[in-house]
Amino acid sequence: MAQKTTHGLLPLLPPPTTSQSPTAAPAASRSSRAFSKIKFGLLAGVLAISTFWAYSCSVGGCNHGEAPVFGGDEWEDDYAGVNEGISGRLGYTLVKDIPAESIPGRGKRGVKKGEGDDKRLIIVGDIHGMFDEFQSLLDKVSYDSESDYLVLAGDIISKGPDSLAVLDFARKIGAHCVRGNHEDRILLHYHDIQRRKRKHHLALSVERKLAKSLSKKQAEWLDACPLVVRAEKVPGLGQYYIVHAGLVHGIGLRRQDPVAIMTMRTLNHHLVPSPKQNGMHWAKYWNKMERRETHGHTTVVYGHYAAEGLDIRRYTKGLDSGCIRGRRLSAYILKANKGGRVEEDIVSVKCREYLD
Amino acid sequence: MQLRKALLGLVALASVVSSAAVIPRDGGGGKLPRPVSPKKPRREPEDTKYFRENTDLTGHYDERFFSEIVDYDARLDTLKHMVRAWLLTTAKEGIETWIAHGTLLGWWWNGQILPWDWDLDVQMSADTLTMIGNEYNMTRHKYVSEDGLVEREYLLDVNPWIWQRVRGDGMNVIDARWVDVRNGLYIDITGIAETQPDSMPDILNCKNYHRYHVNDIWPLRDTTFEGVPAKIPYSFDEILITEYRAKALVVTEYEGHRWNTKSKTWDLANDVPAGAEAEQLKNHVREPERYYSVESGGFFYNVFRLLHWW
Repeated sequence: MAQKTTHGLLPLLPPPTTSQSPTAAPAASRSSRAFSKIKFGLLAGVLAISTFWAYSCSVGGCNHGEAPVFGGDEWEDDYAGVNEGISGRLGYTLVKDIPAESIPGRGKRGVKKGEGDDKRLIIVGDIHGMFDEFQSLLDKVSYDSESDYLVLAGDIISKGPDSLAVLDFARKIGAHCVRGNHEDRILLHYHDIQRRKRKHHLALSVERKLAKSLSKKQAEWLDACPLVVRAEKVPGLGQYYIVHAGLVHGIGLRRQDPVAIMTMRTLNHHLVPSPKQNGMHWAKYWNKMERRETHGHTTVVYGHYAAEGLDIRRYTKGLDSGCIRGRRLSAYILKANKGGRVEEDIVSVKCREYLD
Repeated sequence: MQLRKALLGLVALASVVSSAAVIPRDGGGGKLPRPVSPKKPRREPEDTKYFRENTDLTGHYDERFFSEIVDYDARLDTLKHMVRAWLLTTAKEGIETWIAHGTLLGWWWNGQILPWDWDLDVQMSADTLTMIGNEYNMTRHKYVSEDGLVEREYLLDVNPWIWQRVRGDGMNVIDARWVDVRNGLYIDITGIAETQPDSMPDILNCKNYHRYHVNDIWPLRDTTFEGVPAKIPYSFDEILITEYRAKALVVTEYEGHRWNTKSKTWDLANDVPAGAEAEQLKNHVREPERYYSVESGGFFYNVFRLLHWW
């Protein structure tokens, strides 16, 4: 093709005039020949590229623009600390979902502008048997069991003065719960006592006594508490997980260590969680990783970390504000406002000094 | 054993030499008599060792029942049935026991024995240990597997030195044993007790300097191990991290085995170093094999990628 055009073009060019300088003519023809070589090279290049493009499109389906995805489930599979099945082997209920109609802003007709939504999601941190404070907190948020979905974020009982009263009250008003480390201990004792009477260690007698005083109904209610309560698709905010202590970012729920969900405070550099305080706060890591994501954010609401107090970050909400030690009892509230957006709010009450 | 005999011979020789009271000043002879006098009273505690292993071979067989070294499959089969038998028997008899150390690590990964483990570890409280010492010592227990195909017999042997709750000379750190009488493989049973109730209340020790807080052990958790009901300590993950470092919960290649993420088992892998070789490589970071086996995509695809991204 390229050769043909140059041949066709040649007769159109004016015939070379015999000039005074005979050396000029061969120089001109040499340069035009070099130009056509460059043209030919360019053409061949374009052809080669488009051939490769067409070839790779037919082979690979033309979706090379999409970067390969490392992450999500694939990464979960590759994470070494796969302890899938521990929660199953220990007999825990892993996760329960909040029904869609109870999630604020997700009513049947959606939230229209200027109307708001009467559904609220209320999460209360470590109550530890502080019955009076729990009641005054519910009064302060004007709790209504019809429209509010109340979740107690673990450590409802133990340590405090009126564990059983809190338990009965929570059952009466239809509260929901997640399993905390203290529920876990008390229930393990409870089942041990149910099975047989064993001589036990003195240091355990406080927990053991509480476990002994549980009625079958109370124990069943506690036993049904899952490790995680999940609210999916909260409008504008994404997914919400409610746990007692924490979660390791990037690991699917099934693969999380169930005991760590109830006890963790920090992570080490292998991402192994620990209840000790000498590592990176898991919430810090969670926020760091969550900020990198462009969509589908997950927020974790938790308790357990009293030393940090009320710890509200963008994607984690720490609610243990140390009620048992005379500080405050806090509630985290999600509510759809008049503009149709779901907003968060924190309400807390002062606690009497019980421990220390 | 041979070494000990040789040493005793030397000691005897030396005492003869010293009693003769002719000690030559030159030569190595002058060195020998001196260790003799402190050595003599120490020879007695040496004999307090109750459980004897075949140290010349591997140290994993009880001397009394040892017949031959078992191979990989036979060992795993022996250990699996042995631990099932132990857990079922103790549950039936109401003996409170829980799995520990390497066996607990195996539970963490997949609820099974770690295939490179040679002996299994279980623990119990010192009170329980005394009780089984009184009531079950030297009892033999018959076991039939669930499918009825395997029949075994085990001996529960309690160390008469269990009253000694400290490590002492290190000869009796194992308090009891559950021995397969066919080949001498065994489960180590150790008791834990509050050794210093005044200065360290609620701190429990086993004789091998493992230390636990009461609340880390109790309340025990109910679970299954090798398919039968078992108990594990309350804070199993913290105990594991203390004993084996957090790496043990992360590393997926160990002692000639690789963790299979699909089947959740440790599979034999020839390319993973084991034994002495692994010791040698311990300080080197080994790149996991699978990153090399990623498909390159072929020549044309790579040329395309070059042009496209360029």
